[in-house]
Amino acid sequence: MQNVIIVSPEIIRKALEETRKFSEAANTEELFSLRDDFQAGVDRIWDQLSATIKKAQVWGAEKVQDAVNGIVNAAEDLLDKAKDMAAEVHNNLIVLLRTFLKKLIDSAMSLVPTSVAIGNSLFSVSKINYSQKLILGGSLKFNILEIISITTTGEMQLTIEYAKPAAG
Amino acid sequence: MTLPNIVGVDNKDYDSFIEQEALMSFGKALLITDDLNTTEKSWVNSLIRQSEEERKTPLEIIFDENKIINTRLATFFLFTFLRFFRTHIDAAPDIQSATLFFYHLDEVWKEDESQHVFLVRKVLDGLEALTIFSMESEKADTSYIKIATIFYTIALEFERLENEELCVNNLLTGINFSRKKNLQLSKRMMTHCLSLAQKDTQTDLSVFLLQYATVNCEIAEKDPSQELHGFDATAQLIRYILTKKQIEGIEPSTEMKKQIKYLFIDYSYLKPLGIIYFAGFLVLSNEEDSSKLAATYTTIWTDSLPEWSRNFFSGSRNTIFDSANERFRLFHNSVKKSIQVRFNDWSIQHQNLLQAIPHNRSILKEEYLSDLLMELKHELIHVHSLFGSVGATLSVMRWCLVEMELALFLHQSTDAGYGEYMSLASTRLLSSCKPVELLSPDPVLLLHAERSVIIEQKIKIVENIWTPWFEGIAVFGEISDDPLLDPEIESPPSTVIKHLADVVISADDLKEKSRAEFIADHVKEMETAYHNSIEEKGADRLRNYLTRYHKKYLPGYFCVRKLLSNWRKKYHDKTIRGDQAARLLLHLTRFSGFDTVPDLSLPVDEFRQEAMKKHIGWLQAINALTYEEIDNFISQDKSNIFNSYFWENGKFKKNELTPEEAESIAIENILTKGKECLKYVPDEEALEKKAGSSDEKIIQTLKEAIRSIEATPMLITEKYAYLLGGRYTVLPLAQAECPFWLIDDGKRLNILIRTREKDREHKEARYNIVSLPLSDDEYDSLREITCATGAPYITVTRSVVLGGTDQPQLTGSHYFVYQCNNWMYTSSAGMFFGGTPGDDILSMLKYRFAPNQLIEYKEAINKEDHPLSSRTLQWIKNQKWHYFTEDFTLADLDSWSAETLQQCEAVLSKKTGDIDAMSSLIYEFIFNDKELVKKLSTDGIGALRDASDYKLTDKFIDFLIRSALEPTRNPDDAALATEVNSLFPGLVANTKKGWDFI
Repeated sequence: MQNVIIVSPEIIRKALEETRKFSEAANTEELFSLRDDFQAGVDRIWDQLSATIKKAQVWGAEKVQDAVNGIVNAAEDLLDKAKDMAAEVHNNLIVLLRTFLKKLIDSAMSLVPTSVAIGNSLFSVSKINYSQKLILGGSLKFNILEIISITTTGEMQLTIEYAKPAAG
Repeated sequence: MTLPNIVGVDNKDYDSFIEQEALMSFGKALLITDDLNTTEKSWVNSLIRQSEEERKTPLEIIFDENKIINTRLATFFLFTFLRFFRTHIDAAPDIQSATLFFYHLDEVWKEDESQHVFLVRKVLDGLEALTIFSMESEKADTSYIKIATIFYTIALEFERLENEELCVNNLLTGINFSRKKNLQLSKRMMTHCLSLAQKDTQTDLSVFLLQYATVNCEIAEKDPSQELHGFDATAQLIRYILTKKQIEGIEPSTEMKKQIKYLFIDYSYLKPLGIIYFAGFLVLSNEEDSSKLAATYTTIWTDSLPEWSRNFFSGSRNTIFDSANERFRLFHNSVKKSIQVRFNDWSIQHQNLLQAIPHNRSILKEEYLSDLLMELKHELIHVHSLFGSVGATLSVMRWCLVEMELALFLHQSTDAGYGEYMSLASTRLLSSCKPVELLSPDPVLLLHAERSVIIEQKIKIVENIWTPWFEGIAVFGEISDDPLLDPEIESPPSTVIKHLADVVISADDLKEKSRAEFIADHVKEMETAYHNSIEEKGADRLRNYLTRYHKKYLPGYFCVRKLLSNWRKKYHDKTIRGDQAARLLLHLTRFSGFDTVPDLSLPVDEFRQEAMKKHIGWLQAINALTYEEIDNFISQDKSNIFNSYFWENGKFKKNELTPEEAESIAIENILTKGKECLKYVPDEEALEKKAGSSDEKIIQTLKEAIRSIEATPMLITEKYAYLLGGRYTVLPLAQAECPFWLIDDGKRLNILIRTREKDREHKEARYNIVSLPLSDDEYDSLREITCATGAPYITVTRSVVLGGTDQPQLTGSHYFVYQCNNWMYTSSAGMFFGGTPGDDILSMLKYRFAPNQLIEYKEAINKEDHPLSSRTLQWIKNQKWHYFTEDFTLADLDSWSAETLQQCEAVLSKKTGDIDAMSSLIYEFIFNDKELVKKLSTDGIGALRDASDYKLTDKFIDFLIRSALEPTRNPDDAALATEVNSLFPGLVANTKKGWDFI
């Protein structure tokens, strides 16, 4: 069965918040100092993207095109600045995007009915496929546009298989 | 001293070779014990006659007749056994019959007051193990290791008895047993052996160093993080061999050369050393065209310094750089990258200063200069914070852990009553740098072990409760203590930073400017560098601290800001700048007295509550500083304020004590806190409950054990009190192992120092050659050490004097300390570069860097992984705590041991409950708003990042930086206040002086 799950603003807000918290460190016992290693720059880009995603939900993807370009430019500037740490910084950004998508899918999954009754039989979920592209790498711009696209259409396509539980 | 060569022994003969060697070593060990007296001799003779008649061994007769023998007689029987060892083994039908001798001897020998009881006991254990080993057709690995361990123990005993020759002899025998079965044990014994053998400059170390290098490389095969040790051992080997060839004309044997070659073939990371080795031989063999390589590849240079320089720089010096870079790579494979201060020894572990020494102006060429300076400031604030009453209390508590280990050791040592107690502890315990190995279950051991765990818990509580505050002032200081704000006064951490570059002034330079002008320019340059660092990285760093790492840094930082805003309100007609606030905060942290930590004898839960209460009480007290006290501090705020004033009940007071009086009070404080920590007063009922028995004997034993520690501590005494303080007045800031050369003409020491790991321009490690003129004595002794040991490196430490000198201008000053084995040379660095340290500084440096067994032991058992609690936990798990004692009394220690086990788990846990609880209390102290406290505790200022204005976090961070320096008059801050306060009510306020935090 192909299901389309409508991603509400509340789900997106929650996923954004959880992604922001994902990069927060747990408390530790030692006395130590931090090396920035461009983490603040990564967080700034995330904050900008987060605000843009929320804005796009209200105004649509086209209206935030300039903001998206701004994010991409900011990210490229950061990578330039990072020099020999660019790969690491790029990876940190991709990890954030991937985390957001995962949180979003997890939230969407929670909306899927775990079982459906057809006639006298109760069918339970046996498999779910997420049929849109997953972010696994590639250019930052492509990935950012993908995220904006998913969140502005507000739809996630899921293929859900239900099976009747075996007797006994 | 001779180190035997066993390189040539065939594998098939190896076991019988080491068996013979073991027998000889046991024999030599027994030779030092006392002879039989006349009565004993005649008794033995009659016993022998009787044994021939009865066809029993003399020991069997003694055993059957229920007689006992003393240590001299036990030694005699061991000797006899040794002489006929092979005959005995060959005749014995099985292991049981072969070891019957030991059973009998053990039963009849009553350990007496002979000073050699321990040694004889170990020989007995060793001979029994050797008997089993010799009887085994397939020899078990554990048999080799057991015998090796016994020889190690015997060796340590000989070291205690100051018989180095027999110590080395037993170590070598032990090494031969462990060599193929336990590399780590072999390495430990080899390292020990090497340290002793090196003292005798006549000893030929060639073969031993080859074995040492091989063992280290073999260990690294299984654990690549150990490759550094393989590299260093091989570096020593080749330097030793090349120097021997150069000075004495002696070459290694063909067999050795072959084995050395295999090292370079088998281990690719040794390649740069291989080049040095082979090129060195070329040079020393006067091969054609090799002379231009001489300065690079040989240690000793007989020509002049200019010739050395010409030869070195025109020759293949790059090989040396390759070797240094390879070592650097291996070093970084062996350590975790971090920037932290260890509570244990107040030392800074900075990832970029573990193998690089700021030298000359190198610091200013660092790739991440801004980060580095701010990280150092942060860590220096931590070190200075610990350099006060809280740190001193923690240090005393750590010493009490050593006291408890000594008590455990004493209780388990059967002969501890003989000889000088600390000497026994020194050999058998302190030299191991490990906790006492606990054996059988025993109520007294459990009592001491439990108390040790309780002290560890309290140490952890104090550290955790003070962590938010320590981090708060460190973050505030690194961002807001801008040295450019005040042209005259600086904080102690800023002084240390100022000295990070060396002021090198030549005679020609002085024709242009005076020394004072050079210094003034230098200060300006360093202060500007720090100011620029704040400008460049301050916002990024503060943002990280307060967002990503808010759980760790936000409570303390907000607390500091809350105090500052309150002080500013009270100090209504004047300003408190960020740098002034940073100094005031640090001064309060260091000099508020010992009352900031509760009574160390309180039970753990009560101690925790009281520690939190005291900390909050202290925050309330400093929050209540009056206009006058703030004004007193600021008007007295001069460079030497840190040693001249203190705080008492919220009052800022001048220290009128003479240095002697101050030292005497410091010692008194240490002893008072130490005795408090060792105090333990459980009532009779509690002791009975613990011991699971009301047996008066057990209770009395426990009471006596408690009393003896309190009444007669071994360490918390005036004799050792000087050790408990003082050590940390010198801070090692950066350290590196550096290759060196000796220039005979002019007696100079040339050292290759890695000055930075990554240069801003070249993106790679950079090096300086330093040439030091030495006195005749200094040069000759270093030359002798180099030739005798092959030492490949000089350890160079850039260190800082944090205090303890009566010359205020020397507080924060830097020194280079050069060390090679026990050779040491010092020179001034930083703004006093080129000078010779005065006598008081010299003695401080010597005290800090000379080996000190007690301090090393204290630091080893207090490591972050809690070796003591780990030991006790394993011990409790491995024993049965419900058992019959020797006099058939039932001891039920189940619940006591289970409780202690839980306490061990609490120490070993990485949970941050106490830090989190203290953080919440700090938030409650700052904000009288439960909702806000909950929000900040769980999510920090995350809500700012979720706001529609994605720049709100940056704006707030920028505001925090600006307002820390002074309240702001920026009109944009009104809008910012509205936005921030809508998410966090009352966080930004408009005061009479401008916008400020709260």
